Amino acid sequence: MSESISHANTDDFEELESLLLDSVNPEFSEADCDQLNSLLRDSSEARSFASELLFDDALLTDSLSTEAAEASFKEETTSPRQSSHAWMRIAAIVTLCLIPLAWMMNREDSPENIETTVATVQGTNRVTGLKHGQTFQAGERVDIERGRAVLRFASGAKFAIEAPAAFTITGSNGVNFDFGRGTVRVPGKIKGFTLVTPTETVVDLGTAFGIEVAKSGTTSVAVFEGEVELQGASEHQRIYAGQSTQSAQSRSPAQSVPHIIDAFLNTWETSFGVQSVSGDLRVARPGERLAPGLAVDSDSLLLFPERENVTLPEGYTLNSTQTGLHEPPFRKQIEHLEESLTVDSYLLQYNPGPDGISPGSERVFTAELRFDRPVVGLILGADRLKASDAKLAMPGAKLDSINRRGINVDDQVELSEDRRTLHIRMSIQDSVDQIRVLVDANA
Amino acid sequence: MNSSTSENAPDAAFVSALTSLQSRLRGYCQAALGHGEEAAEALQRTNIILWTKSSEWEPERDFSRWAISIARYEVLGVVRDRQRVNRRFVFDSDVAEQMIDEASERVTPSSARQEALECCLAKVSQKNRDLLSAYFVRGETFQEIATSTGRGLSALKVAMMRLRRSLRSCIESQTGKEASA
Repeated sequence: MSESISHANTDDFEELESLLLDSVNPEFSEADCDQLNSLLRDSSEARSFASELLFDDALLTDSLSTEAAEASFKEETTSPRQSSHAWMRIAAIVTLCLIPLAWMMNREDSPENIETTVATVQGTNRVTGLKHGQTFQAGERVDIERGRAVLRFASGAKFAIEAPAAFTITGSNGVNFDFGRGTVRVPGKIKGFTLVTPTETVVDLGTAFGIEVAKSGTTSVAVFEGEVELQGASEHQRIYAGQSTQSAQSRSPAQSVPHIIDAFLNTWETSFGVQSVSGDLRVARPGERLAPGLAVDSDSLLLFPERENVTLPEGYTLNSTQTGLHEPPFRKQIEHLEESLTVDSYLLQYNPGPDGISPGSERVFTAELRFDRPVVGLILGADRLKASDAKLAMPGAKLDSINRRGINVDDQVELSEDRRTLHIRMSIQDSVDQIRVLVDANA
Repeated sequence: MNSSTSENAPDAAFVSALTSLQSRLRGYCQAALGHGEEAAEALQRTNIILWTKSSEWEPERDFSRWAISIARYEVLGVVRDRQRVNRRFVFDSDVAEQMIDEASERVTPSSARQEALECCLAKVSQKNRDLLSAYFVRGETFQEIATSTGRGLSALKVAMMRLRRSLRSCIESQTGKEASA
């Protein structure tokens, strides 16, 4: 082990330490990043200091996480005599680190798991043969002849599918996909969602991708975000965001094909729980979604699905949790959550870019947006939008480059009584308009 | 296509070795790649490879050396993948390579530093432990911690830096004590 940096020297690295601490902050800028790299590039002492700090932080994270897990085990232990500190410690570490891993590697569910629910229908759109909330156990087959649906797996993976399609659910993290077209997204930390088709085995490595299986078995994959591994041939192939492949024969390497994703956009929308959009609105395409601050479209409002399964604490401040009509000003329209809520967040934005609308001119955009789960909160004012970015915006969203957020005096947002439909009317002037919509993640 | 679980399941000795090395593997990945998701990805990839290769390991063999060599390969893989898709993360690739070398120096087969840290952590006040847990375990930003605790943003950051400095000092004194004993 290299020598620890002497305590006196640590004062010299205050800026470095501060930058390292800030580096996980969504507001960490390119300039900060440049400065951090410059400090490290120029000095071996700085690198040694940073390395020790980061290493200790990891030990600290593990110790504190293990402690929290131990406390939770303690609460659940009925007889203190039956548990020892050492046992709790191992149990905590195994729970934190290895159970998810073991579960991920075990793609064939054990017999005792066969009886449990491994997937649930989160949403449907004009589909036949599936109902919202319907549950599935491992081994069940799904055939759909019409419409679209999204299944939420126990692993956290979401599989949106468009008819005609047929597949068998193999467990809490995979399907055997006979034919059809769909989008897979795995928003959480668990990876390894596996689709086995007649010609390919596609394994998620933290990603979003489109997949189409023809009735002949030919499998096309288009990776939108992250990466996937193709395991159908003896040499596994990794493919990355922006790449597409086609596998026509089993055990043969997949071939690269042009990255054309239009065929997957319907299931891409469905995978985010967007049941329908109409009027002057579209859902951000893969790629656009990750940087709403940079996305420009003078012809449409854009809906950016943001973070999913975010728990907002009791007391969290929003502009509204109510149904009905919402109009500015919002500065004094403040509500606090009465209990903690887990939400999926969506940013609705109009940004025509610098040349989109000339100052003083005005256009009116109207749209209807329906979700498959209830809207539980709205963030409508510029100050609350900014305050909520840290928790709800995608990392790297670049929203700090946008001034004058929120909506204008003449704009209206109306939430239907069933909480699933938003009617939006935006009178677009010369600035960017934004609102944030929060949907119940657990409904 | 699916991997058979019953035939390839690692034995208890392997699970125990992997469990006890988790903190140092995490430390290695984080020292090389920073606090961001890249380190978590490298750790996960390392765990998967180790798990799939568990049958290749024999208990007489130095587990930590073997595991860290795999971690190094996976850390390099993450850097290469980010380069390939032209995606910047906190370290530029040349700096990441330098940091990987540093991380290799940092990680050791011994768990002495971890034990010292736990000893020092026991002396930290509840208020400061809450701050550490919010930042390191729950992943809250300083802004979020400031909002939930009512403390000032810069005061929080200063408190965190002081706290880590005193922990570092305590660890050094603990490990020094053990070395001289």
